[in-house]
Amino acid sequence: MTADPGILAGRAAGTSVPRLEADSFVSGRAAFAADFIPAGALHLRVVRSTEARAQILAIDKDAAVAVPGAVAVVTGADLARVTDPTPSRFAKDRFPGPLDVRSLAVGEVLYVGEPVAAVLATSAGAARHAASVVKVKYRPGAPILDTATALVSAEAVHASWGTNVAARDLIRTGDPESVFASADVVVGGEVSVDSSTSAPMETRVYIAEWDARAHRLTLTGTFQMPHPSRWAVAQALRLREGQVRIVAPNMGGTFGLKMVGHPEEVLVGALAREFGKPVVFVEDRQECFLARGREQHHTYALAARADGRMVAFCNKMTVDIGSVGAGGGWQMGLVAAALFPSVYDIPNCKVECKLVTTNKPPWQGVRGYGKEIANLVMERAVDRLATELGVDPLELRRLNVLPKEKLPYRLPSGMLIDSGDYPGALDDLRAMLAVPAWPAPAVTVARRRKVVGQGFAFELTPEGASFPGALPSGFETSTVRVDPSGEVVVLTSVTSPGGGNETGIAQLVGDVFGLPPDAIRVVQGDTDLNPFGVGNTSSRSLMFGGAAAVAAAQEVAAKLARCGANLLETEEDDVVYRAGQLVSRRSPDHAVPFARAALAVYTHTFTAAAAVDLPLQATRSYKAENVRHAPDEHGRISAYPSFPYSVHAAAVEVCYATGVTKVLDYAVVHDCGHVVNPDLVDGQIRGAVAMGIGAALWERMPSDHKGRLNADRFKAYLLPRAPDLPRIRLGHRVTPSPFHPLGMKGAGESGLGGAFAATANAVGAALGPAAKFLDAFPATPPRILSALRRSST
Amino acid sequence: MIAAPFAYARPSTHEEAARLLAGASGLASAIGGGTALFPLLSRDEQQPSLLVDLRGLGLEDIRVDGEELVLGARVTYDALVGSEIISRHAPLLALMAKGVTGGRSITGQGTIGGSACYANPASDVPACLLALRARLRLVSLRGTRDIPASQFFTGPYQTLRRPDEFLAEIRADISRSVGAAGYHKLKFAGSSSPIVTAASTLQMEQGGIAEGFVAIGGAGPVPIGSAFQVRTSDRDSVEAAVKAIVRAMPAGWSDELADGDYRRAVAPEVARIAIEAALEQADG
Repeated sequence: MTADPGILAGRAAGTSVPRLEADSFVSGRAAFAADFIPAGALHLRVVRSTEARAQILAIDKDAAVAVPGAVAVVTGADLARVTDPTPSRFAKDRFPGPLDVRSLAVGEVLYVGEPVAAVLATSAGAARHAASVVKVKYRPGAPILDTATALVSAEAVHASWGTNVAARDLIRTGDPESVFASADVVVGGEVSVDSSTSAPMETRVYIAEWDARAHRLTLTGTFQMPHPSRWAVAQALRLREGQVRIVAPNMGGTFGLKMVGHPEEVLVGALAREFGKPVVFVEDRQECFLARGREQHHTYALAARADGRMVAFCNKMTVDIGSVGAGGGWQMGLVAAALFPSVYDIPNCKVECKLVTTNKPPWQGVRGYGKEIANLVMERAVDRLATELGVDPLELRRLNVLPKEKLPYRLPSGMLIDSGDYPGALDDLRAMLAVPAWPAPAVTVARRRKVVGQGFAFELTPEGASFPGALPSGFETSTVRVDPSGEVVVLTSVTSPGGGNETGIAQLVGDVFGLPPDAIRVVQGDTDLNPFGVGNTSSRSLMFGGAAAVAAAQEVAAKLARCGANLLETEEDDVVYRAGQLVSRRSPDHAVPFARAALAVYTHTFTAAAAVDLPLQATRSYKAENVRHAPDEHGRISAYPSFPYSVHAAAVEVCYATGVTKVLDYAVVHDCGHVVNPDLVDGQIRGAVAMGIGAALWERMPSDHKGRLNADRFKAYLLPRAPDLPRIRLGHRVTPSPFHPLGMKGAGESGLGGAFAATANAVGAALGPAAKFLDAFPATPPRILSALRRSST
Repeated sequence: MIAAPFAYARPSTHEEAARLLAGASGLASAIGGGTALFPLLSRDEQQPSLLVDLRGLGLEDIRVDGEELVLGARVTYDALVGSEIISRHAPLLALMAKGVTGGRSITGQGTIGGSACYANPASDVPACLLALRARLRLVSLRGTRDIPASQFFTGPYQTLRRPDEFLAEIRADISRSVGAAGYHKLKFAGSSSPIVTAASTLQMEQGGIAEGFVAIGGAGPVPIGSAFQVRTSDRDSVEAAVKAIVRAMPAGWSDELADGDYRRAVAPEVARIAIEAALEQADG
C-alpha cells in the first residue's frame, strides 16, 4: 500500500522541474478568457438589485434601449420563457424545501447585487451605460441581515422553505456533557468571522457562441469545473449535454470562486441563442466582491484535566450563508463542522451547526472551504487552554495531538484521517524556530508599546472532497495517447487555476515513458476533448487527475512495450522506458527510439505492432478507495480520502497605541505526502499563508444596514501586499498516504487555515490578558484596540 | 470602463479653462492626474458632462517667488520627490510624497492639487497643506482668490472651491515650510488608505525652544492643526502639545476601515510620532 517506487523514484517526479509554459505567462503571451472575445460580440451588463429584499414592481427599459449601441434589455420574466431553473451540482436533500434558481430574479429579489435584468449592447461601454439607466421599481421589505434576526423571523428568505435554517448537523461522540461537568479545567470563548472572499486577479468572464446550424453552444470562460458547468447549463437552457461545449483557457486564479453555479453562465448562453450573436460577460471588480463566504459565529468550550490532557470539546456554530443559489458555497459551513476537533485526541465531542439564510449574496467557494474556520476555532480554543493552564502552547499541543500510531483515526464526523505525524511536525517546527531570525517574545519597545506575540496552530485539511450526490462525486479521469510522431498527449478532466498542475501531470506521465516533462502535452478545460470529471477543487489535480493519468499512461506504455519487444526481438517484460528510448533490460545496447516505436504502431500495424492492443490510447479514472458513503454505526460517512496537515508559527508585533499589526516572521511545516514538484507546492503554500494572514488581519466585507456591501474595492478590502508579509519559512515532512497509489495527499489548498489561526494566536499572545476579548476576525486595528480597552475596564 | 458619455476639453489658457467650467452649469469636473476621478467615473459614482483637463495650463512648476514657495496644481508626487527646491524649502512635502504607494501610475500622475480638491480625509495632502499653512489659489472668470488651507477644507470631499473654479497653484511662506519636518501616517496594511496622518513642521528658536505646527488628517472630517512650542530637552512637552491638539479635535470621521472613535483614539499617537520625527531631524 505504499507509493510505487517505480514512479516517484523516477527522473522528474519529485523534482522542481520548471513550470511548463512559464515563459508564456511571464512574457504576457498566455491567453486568458477575455482574450477570446470575438469581434462583433454583444456585451452583457447585468442590472443588479439595489435592495436586499423587495418585490420587483416594474422594470422600465425605455431609457436603456434608447442608449446608442443598446440592443436589448431582458428581464427575469423574459428569460424564464426560454430557460428552466439552474440545477445545483450538490444534492439538495439537506434543504427544507425545493429551490427554483433563476439567472435573473423573477418577482422578488433576495440580496443586493442579485441580477434583475440583462442589458445587451454592441460595446461594453454602451452596455454599462444602458444598464445604469434601467429603472427598476421595488417594493422593499425588511431585509434579514443577520442570523439572530433570521432565526426568530416569521419570514423566510426562501419563502417556500418556511424557515431560515437551511441545514443543520449535530455531531456527537462520547459523553461530552458529563465530562464537562466533572472536568478539572474548562475554557470557553467565541469566534466570529467576517465575510471575505478569494479576490482572484482575473475576474469571471463568459463568452457564449451559439451555432445555429449545429444547434450547439460553446461557452468559453473562467470555468473551474467545465463538466459540471456543462451539465448545469445544458439543463437550464433545455439542451442536451452534448449540445454544450465548455472551454476553459488559462485562468488567473480562482480559489473556489469560479466553481459552477453563477447566474451569468446560463445568462450568456440563453442570450447568445436568442439574439444569434456571441454574448460576453466580463465581471468587474465590484461584482467580483459579491462572492462572499466564511461569515459565521462559534461558541466553543474545551475541557481538560489539570495536567493539560484534553477530554471534551463542544462548539455551537451559526453560519450566515446568505441566500442560496445554484452554487455550492453553503456546503463550506457543513465541512467546517465536520472537521472538529481536527488533529486533537479528544474522546468526547459535540458540534452543533446551523446554516442560516439571510438577505445577502450566496456563498461562493473560497480557499479553505470551511476547514480554515474549523482550524481557527480549534486553535483559538487550544490557546485559551494554554493560557488558562499557564503552559507552553506548543507543549500543550504535543500532549494532545493524535499520536502516529492512532492513525488512521475516525473523527467524530465520520471522516477518517488517513495518516500523519503530528508530533514529528512539531519537532521540525521547533527546530526551525531555533534559528535566531525569530524575534524574542514579548519585546516591549519603549513608548510605542509594541509587543511581539508568537502564535502557533495546527491545520488539518481534508482533501479530495467526494460528497454523495454531487456531480460528479469524487473522481477524475485522464486519457493518455501517443500520436504517430511520438508526442504524448494527456487529456485530463482536472483544470488548472494557474498553479501549474499541468506540469506535475507531465512529470508523472513523462516518467512512465522515460520522457522529459516538456515532451508531454497536457490538454485541459475543454468538454469536447477532455474526459469527464469535476475540474479543479479540493487539491485533487494530481491526487486524482495525476493518478488517473499515471494509470492510463501505464496502460499505454504496456501496449507500446509490445511493439518495442517486436522491434527489439525480445519479450515485453524485458522492455523498459529510458531516456527517450525503449530499451532491452537484458541487453541495454538494444534500444529503439520512443518516436520510432510509436510510429511503427501506426504504420506497421501487422508486423512490428502485430500484437499491440490498439489504439495507443487509454482512459482511466481515479477514485479514492477510502471514501465511505455507506453510513457507519453512528450514521456518519467519510467524504474525504486525504488529510494533509501543517503546523504554523507566526510572530506578530502589535502596537498597543494603535492596534496596528505587523507580521515579523513566519514558519510552517507542511505534509502532503509525496510531492511531485516541490517548488510548485511551495508556491501554493506561500500563497495560502499570505491568504491566511490576510484573513486573520485585514480582509473583510462588511455590509450596511440595508445589506449593501461597504467594501467592494481593494482600497477597502485590504489584501496583503508583499511588504506586509514576512519571509515565509517552509519545512516539509513526507508521510505518504497509505490509501493512495502514489502516496499523495493533495497540495494547493492547505496552509490558509493554519496561517489564519497562527496569526490570530500571535495577536492573542501579544495582547496578553486582553486576548480573551479577541473574538472577532479579522483582528483589525480597531478590534485590537477595542479588546485592549475592554480588558482594561 | 466609463459608462456615461462625457465631453472632454483640454484648454490651453486659464481663461479658456475658466470659461469652460463656467459654461458647464456645475456639471464639469476638472482633472489633475485623474487618479481619484477616473475610478469614480468607472464605478459610475460621478457622471460629469464635461471633463476639463488642466494639463495644457502649465501648472507643473515648482518655484520660489520671493518669500513664497509656489507649486503648480499639477505637480505630481514624483515631481515633489525629485525637486531640489522642495527638499530645500519644504522637506515635509518630500517626506509625504515618498510615502505615497500605488506605483508610478499613482505617484507619477497623482497631483498635489488634485488631492487637495478631492479632499478625501483619508489622504496625505490636506494635512500637509495645513501644516505648511499654505494658500490655495482658485481661478474663475470672476477672478482669482487665495484661500488658506485652514479654511479650504470644509468637510469630507468638500472644499470652498466653487464649481466654476479651478485650483491653479498652492503657495506657502518659505519661513514656515523650511526647517525640520516630520510626517507619519497610520495605515493598516500596504494597500490601506491612510487612516490618520500627521504632518509637523518645526523651526528652532533660541534657548532650546522649538516653534512647531502639527496638522492631523483623517481623524475628523477635515484636517485640524495647531501651533505648539516644545523644549527640545524635554520630550514631555511633546505630550502636552499633543494633548492640547487632541482636545480641540472635532467629532471623528468614519469609513469602512475605521470609525471616528478609532481615528480619534489613535490621533495622539500619530501626532506624537510626527512631532518626534521632526524634533529628531532638528537635532540631527
